[in-house]
Amino acid sequence: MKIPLLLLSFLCISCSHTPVSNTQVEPSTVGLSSARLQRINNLIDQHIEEKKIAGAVTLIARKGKIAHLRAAGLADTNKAMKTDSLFRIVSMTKPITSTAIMLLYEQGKLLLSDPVSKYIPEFKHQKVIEMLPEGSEFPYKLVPVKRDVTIHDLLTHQSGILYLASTGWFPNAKREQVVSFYRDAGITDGFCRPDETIGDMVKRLAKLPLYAQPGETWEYGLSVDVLGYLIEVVSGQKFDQFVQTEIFDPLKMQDSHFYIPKHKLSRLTADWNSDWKGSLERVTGPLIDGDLALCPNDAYATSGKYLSGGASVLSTAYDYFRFAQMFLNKGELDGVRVLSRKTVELMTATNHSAKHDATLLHSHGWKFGLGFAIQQDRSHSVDSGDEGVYEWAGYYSTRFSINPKEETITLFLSQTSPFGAHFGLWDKITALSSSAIAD
Amino acid sequence: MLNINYKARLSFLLCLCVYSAPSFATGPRVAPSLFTSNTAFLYTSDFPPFISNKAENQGLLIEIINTVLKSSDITAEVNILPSKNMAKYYFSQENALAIIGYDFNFSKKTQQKSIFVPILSIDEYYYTHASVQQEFKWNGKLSSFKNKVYGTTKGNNVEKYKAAGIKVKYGRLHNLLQKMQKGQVDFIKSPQLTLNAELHTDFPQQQSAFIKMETKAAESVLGIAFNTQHADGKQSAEKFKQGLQKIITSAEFNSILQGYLGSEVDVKPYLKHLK
Repeated sequence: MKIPLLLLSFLCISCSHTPVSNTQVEPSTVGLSSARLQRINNLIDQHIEEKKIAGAVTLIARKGKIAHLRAAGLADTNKAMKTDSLFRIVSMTKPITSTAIMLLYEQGKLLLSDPVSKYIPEFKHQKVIEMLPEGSEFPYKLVPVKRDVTIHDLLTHQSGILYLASTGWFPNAKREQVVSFYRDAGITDGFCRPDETIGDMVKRLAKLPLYAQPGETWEYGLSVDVLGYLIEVVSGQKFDQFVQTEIFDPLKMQDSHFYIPKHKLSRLTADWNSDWKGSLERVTGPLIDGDLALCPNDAYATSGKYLSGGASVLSTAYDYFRFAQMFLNKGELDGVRVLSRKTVELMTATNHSAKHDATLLHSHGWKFGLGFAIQQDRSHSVDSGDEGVYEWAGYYSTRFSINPKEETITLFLSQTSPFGAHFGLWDKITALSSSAIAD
Repeated sequence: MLNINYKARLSFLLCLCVYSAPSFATGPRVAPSLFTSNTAFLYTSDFPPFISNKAENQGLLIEIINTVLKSSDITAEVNILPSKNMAKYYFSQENALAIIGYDFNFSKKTQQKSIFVPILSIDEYYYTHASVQQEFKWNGKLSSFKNKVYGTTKGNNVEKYKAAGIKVKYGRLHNLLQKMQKGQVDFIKSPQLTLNAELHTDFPQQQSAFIKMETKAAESVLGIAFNTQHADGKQSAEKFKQGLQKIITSAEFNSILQGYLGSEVDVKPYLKHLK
């Protein structure tokens, strides 16, 4: 009796997801066309030849198997890109931080509807800026919040907290005024690593005016950095330790770090400044453009105080694939359950921000869930993907996309500034990845 | 009889349903924030060790102020903001009871509606970085800093620096020190205690790289400015003046000062303004 039971158990385990590995499978075994995937190689090589990008790692996976993992071009001057090269994934940190929050939610330690002030008292009695008509004696007034900022607002970027860099993206007088307070208070976007703790920054940020009433706007900003500190307060652990033990370790993301270990420094990819017309230069210092401050060289620090929930993680294509595959598997990977199926469904639902579209990476048609933008309909400028595809990006031109319907993951990692220039390339990669489906 | 009893029971049940309905509703929850308090607010910005959220009792100046408020029966709460301009906003636009600090750089109109009560005298010095120290010949005249870059907090008065041909960059003290290290700012002005506190906490290895120019830059007075536009402004200013005098006379003032600066410290220089 015992033997059949054991056999049955073994069969059950075999029937579920087979362990994920970085071994590539023949694309046809997962319903992908080798010839069509080759088009991605051609596209990347063409961009390298034209000196639009120095190099890239691309990864296409389907049904839990990697069908395409390729490194091309340079990782640094005189150093070839490798599939295990390390990248500053910047805002692709945000889905990781959001996952960490959802772990605490699943442990019953917080509710998404909780006001942030329940855990960080500085968020009590926040004010919202309102500009006064031109010609008024004073340009603005501060009015009380109609309701407190909640954890849900932070996850969905509906808190009214901005990025300083947004003055360059969507300039207006109100935004400029809020950001001027941020500047006074020494708030930074976290793309450079300041010499302070995230808690110090968040406590100051909490006392500054919001750009809009909580829930009444979609503004991409420092909300997820606040979540990073919230994780410290609720869990009692340092943010990076919590992520390590609750996400990186269970998912065997062995090359994902907030600060890179010394022995991996040689694998860190350089950042390149590209005019997208053939002029490509390795970035040697900070990149300052108005309120946008990027410090790619800060990634070479092997230790530091600042742990940005919105920007600090360094990772590889394979590690991020493992993270994405956990989502595609509805919360588990290699028999380890990280999130419940219901939580993944909650995170990828499109009705969190009913009134607002996530219009940063695309135009309309995308909604923001709890850590990702999710394609809701076709009334947008992207040519590929299905309803329900979710994705996000990083400021040094890194992207990922998860298609639950087709069970595909598409990853593109480069280190190219400025950010917006790669959008066309990414759209083509997702179009080629999608059109490689051959079943 | 039975009928009356039935009607009474029915009425009771209906009342119960009506009155208990809101407790089943899924509308907004009653939050403590719905209840406003009558506490007046005093606004200020970070200026360690005198004003600091991180310090015990919010720093030396705030401890003195809170002691005076308590003894003068003034109910007010100090709110330390990360931006001096925000503190000024609350004072000038929302008629907050008072603002704490110095060098408010008020407009004439705002100045006219404020009553300043001086509390602590402080000497300020110019500091530069060792890498550019040789370029500085501070002779007490700002013209000797022409074409240099002065770093200061936004909200401070910079007119005299601009008039002397000095460029101005803004930031918090921590950022300004970092900018001095990078050569982006040439000099700053700070009380020695403030600079030492910052260097001790955040730049322990580089303390000797920041050089004090020996000739004093300014004698400043930290204090509290009451707002005459606030209903209790004038009365509170008067009560505060008397309360401050009391704690100075009773040596409580000295005791607080020595608690922060050490029992050996001579308190007289901090009370220069009383002369």
